Amino acid sequence: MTEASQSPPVDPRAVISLADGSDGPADLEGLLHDLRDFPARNLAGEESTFGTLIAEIRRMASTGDSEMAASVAAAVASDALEAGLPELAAVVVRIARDLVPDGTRAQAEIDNVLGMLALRLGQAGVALNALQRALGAVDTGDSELQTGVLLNLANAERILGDADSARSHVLSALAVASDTGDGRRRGQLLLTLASMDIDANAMARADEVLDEVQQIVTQDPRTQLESSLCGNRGLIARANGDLVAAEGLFRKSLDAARRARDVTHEAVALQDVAASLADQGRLGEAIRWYRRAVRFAERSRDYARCATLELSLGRTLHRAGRMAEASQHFERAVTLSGYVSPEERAEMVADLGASYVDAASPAAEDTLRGAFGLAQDLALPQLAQRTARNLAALFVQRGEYDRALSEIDTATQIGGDANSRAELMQWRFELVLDSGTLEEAETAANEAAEARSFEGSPAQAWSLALAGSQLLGVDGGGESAVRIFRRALSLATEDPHIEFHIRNDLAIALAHVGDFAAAREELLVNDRLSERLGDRAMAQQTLFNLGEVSRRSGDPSAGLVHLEGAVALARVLEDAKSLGEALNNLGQARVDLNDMGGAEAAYAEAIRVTGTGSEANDVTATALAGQANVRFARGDLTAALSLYLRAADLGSPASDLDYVLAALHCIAAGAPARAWRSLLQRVIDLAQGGKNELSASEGLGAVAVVWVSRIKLKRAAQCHAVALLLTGSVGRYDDTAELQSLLAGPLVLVARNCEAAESKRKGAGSMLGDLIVKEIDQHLGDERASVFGELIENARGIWREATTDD
Amino acid sequence: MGPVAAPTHGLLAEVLFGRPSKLKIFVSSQMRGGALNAERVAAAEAIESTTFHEAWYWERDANAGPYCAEHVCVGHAGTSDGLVLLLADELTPITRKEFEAAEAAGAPCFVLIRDGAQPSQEALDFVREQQGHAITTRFGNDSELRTRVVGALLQNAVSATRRDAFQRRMARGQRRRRSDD
Repeated sequence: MTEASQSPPVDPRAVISLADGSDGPADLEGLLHDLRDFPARNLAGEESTFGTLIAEIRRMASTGDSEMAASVAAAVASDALEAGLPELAAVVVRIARDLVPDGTRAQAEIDNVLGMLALRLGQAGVALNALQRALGAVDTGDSELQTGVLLNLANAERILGDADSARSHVLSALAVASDTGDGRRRGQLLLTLASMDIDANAMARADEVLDEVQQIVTQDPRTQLESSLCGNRGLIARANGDLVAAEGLFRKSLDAARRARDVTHEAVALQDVAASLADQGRLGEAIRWYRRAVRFAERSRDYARCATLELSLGRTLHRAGRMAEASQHFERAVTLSGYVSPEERAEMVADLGASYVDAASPAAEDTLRGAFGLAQDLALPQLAQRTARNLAALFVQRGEYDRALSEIDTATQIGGDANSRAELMQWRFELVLDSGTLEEAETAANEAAEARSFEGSPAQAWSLALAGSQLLGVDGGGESAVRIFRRALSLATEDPHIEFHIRNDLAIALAHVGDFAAAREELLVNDRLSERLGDRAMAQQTLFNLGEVSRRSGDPSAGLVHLEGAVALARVLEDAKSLGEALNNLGQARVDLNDMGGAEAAYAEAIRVTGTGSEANDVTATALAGQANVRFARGDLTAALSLYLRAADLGSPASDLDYVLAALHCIAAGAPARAWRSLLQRVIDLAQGGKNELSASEGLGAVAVVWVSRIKLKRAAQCHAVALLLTGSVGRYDDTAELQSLLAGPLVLVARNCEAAESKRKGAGSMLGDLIVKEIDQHLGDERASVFGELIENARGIWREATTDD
Repeated sequence: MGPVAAPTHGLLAEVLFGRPSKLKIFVSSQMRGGALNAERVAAAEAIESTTFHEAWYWERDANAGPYCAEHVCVGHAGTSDGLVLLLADELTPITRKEFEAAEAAGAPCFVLIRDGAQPSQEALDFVREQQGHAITTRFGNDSELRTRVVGALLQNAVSATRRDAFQRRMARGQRRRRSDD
């Protein structure tokens, strides 16, 4: 058969139906007429045409030589398959099946080819049936056909997930091949065995098998086995994490395939090199290699490989953040998915759906629902669960939390392994934390920990400890956090180190809710533990926390003593981060005791010992802010402003907001105002969640004072009104009184700013206060139902102006 | 911890669910002479006591075979979710490469120096260089080693979940603004 011409891929199911006759009578004569002049080679390798060879097969069968007819048909069909012409192979198989008698060697040979054809077209179930028939018909003395059938059967079983049967059939084939002394066939079988061992992660066993193949290749270096040998060695190196060696071995495999002119292995090697590059994070190169592999597979009309390559290419583009391109390749994979197993097709549709989520495609939901349906139909619970999770991710992206939670519940009900369930429950807790009440979040945290019970109580304790930390970060979550940490502690009795850390967290939460006595008690238990274990690291952390609890409870002198102890121990341990943290708190304790010089010294040392870097930035930022506070208190506003800005540049996003607000207050209090507008923009950018409205209103309050200082009272009043309204927007209200109550907190802020303004311009504060009242009265006087929405709309307009117009 | 982390990063869910469910923490140290053998095992035990982490260390986790130890170790360090470096007298070239690979991949690194060790000048310079980027501290006994490892991993997990929560809130605010507009 000569090289195939380019034409669109055939429909694999239709080709198989044609080959095995399951579609009923076919217009074979019409097909033969169309194909009769196709170039082909006879058994002796001489040039011929398809029509001539078919006529020859029919002639042989009519004269009773069905075995020869089957051999010629099998050769022509195999040739057609290798040339990427499955439809031709199907016609030959169909004709031959009608000519050969049942239960004969001839039938076994044709069924073997039908099996190969079905494997090539991703129809492993059809292949299995055909190959089992072939195995039943083949004579045990016919070693070549027998080993071929066994090998193909094993491949079908591998695809269908029956690894034990596959292994057993390869071992049977090996026994037959060893008797005949066919080294090449034995090599092929050993390679299949090694691949199975690699699939089963039995690398040492695979290595031993490959050593046997190496001996065969050493004796006959020209065989095509060398490419597979290198490829399998590469897979083992990859599994062992030696990615560089793996790449080298895959490249050797490619060279060997080219030397042997073995197109099948060349495509495999191209794919392996691409995968090894992707493993190493060399995504650009991997994408180029995958594209080469796709072109190669297209040229050889290997559409099953094309489909898997398109999938890999899509995944690599996805990793590289090239979402739109990734979607295109997933779409092509799905188009070609008739050539792969239904299970692989379902994977492809699921990946396409996932990529649509990333690309914000409106088709995401439908595609994922389609994938979910396929996974359910095919009884693939893992894929169904993954798809439900992706649907949940889609709804989270859209802010539809209820639907997301419903999908998580669906995914949980599907079952799957305990670990997946535990992860889902953990995710559920986080969503509830974002969208539900604290009570619901606490329940979800307990359920998430319960889902970890299969791992034992330490895992449950850790799950609760992390949940407690998250609850502590939510407004009003302190009491819930205390309950969760207490439960975590009750489960963490097996390991003193885990117990120590959770008790620390509990103490912090207790201090957070103002129960300082209980916090101190817990820390004293930890102190005794550290003494018992002779553990300076524990002692240092305990002193640090005792210092903070004492300071917050209004006893800065006791706090100072503990913190000095924490500093001393951190020095001994040469623990730069802990030393910086302890110095920062020591600085704060000294501020509490009005020792400004001592505080500045502590902060300066904290900056010196921690420096900058990913682990140190927060500590250094806190020290800078501490220094700024001291300067602010001393009235050195310019220095304070500069220090706050340095802290804002170093700190984490959450603390950054506080530093920017502090800088705005410096400006409001009289520091040079040049930077105020860009700072306000930062407040707006940062204050998006949780306490955002309050932070934004504080920012606007500070800006209002800047305007007051420039006698722009009307503008300042508008700013304050906006600040109030923004803060009020966090709750619903039924009447004016309720709204006034909602606004009570922010009014304190306004009062504070008015006071600051008063000190700048005589009478300005009172005037500003009057204006604010007027602004709000004006809005609240409106009786329309949509009054609140309109107020917010007005607020937004003023906000926009405030950020662009001085 | 959850897959919902940042909608702006798209299907982070896939990334998180597609990886092993436990975070891989690489245990790195000089191996020649077995100077830190006991400490390596103690560190691995501490890592795994958290139940959310899995230690990777050569003695237990490398498959036997004719493969280059350096490639394997550096490969695993570079694909880990964190690295614990135990230091005594010497910082070997492979250990440095492991650290650099983990750091380049953005994994948090923790350097623990054994009390009583006489670190070479190169090792001391290295520790000084890392003080801003990694947690660096001394340990005098098994308990101190465990306290530091467990504490660092817990702190890291808490910071990560808080960062996630903050990003979620940011994203939610942005969404709300977009829908308001």
